[in-house]
Amino acid sequence: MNSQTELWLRPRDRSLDNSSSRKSRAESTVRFYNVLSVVFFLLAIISLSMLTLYLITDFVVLALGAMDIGTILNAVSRMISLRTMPDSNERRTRAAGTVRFFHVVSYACFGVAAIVFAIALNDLATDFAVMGLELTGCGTILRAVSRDIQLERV
Amino acid sequence: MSDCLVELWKLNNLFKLFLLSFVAVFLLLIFALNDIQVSQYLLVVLVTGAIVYLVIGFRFVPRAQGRPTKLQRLHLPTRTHILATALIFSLFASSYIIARTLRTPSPFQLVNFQYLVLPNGEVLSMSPLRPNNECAWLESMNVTTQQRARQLGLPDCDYVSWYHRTSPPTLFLEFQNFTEFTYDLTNTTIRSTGSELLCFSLSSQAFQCWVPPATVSHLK
Repeated sequence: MNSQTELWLRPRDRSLDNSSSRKSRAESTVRFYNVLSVVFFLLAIISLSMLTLYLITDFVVLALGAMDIGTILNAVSRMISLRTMPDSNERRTRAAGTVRFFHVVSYACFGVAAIVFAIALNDLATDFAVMGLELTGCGTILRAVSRDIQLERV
Repeated sequence: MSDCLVELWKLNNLFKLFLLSFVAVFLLLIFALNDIQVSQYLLVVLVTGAIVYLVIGFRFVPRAQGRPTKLQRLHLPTRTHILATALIFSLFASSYIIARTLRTPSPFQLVNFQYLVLPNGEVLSMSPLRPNNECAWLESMNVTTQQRARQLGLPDCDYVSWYHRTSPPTLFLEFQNFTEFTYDLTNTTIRSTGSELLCFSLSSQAFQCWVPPATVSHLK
């Protein structure tokens, strides 16, 4: 659509066009983030496989890093897809479910973080402290995303 | 579209929980139960979980999407997307190679506790650091062994962590009962072969080796 034609469009048509373009861009972002999150989860699987084979703690650090990026991308894509839902009732219901789910995952992150921090303190092992920080970071970002979803729902 | 996204999102989160529990169980087996052998069988569990994740992901997502719209069909990955994915993979591949080569023991050879043969064939002569060159990893020992080590007057091996940074070429030989012997290393022209053992390079000229049946646990 060139600019001349756009000038002749009525305001309502223009706003429809804008909203459809915004929706398609949001969907494209969501698709891309979903693909990336799957890629990162696959990298986490490879790292954990290497861990079982070679017993090197660095692979746990790599796996947790990949899992965290995957989780955050997944959470952000979910947040964007919730925003694009036209029906407010459906959006509210799904947002409530999403927040509940994110809370469970963040508690799991904090739980495992507590375990690795305990190992780090017991053995004075910096690798485990890094793992703990990664997990705490992931849990905190998930809580932040779920808070954002909660606030937008209101 | 939204239905499929919900499912993929839930699947990803469930898989994340699975991976987290895998890590927790793995660490529990190593640190609480000291079971290194069983932990290796967890690879089967991990692979099974990954296959289930991929099967559900690939089978479910396209079906929920239905027929692609004209816009979706035209959606091709841009150069940025391809570059981003390639960068991610190359970063992880290089990390794997670095971790694998620098943090995994290589095959060295020990000849009658007199010579150490490096993987490149270089032979180093071993001489005890002092007449009684034995020390004990007291923290790793159980109460009985620790008491025996203390009765024998063995010093704690904690000095190893800083000694190799400031000392001449050194070899630390670890045995199954958590005792360790320290040797000075000197270059020699003798050519020899011996029994294989696993060693880490602590620095350019210092090595830590495990004398069989002592086993290496990198997580310890």
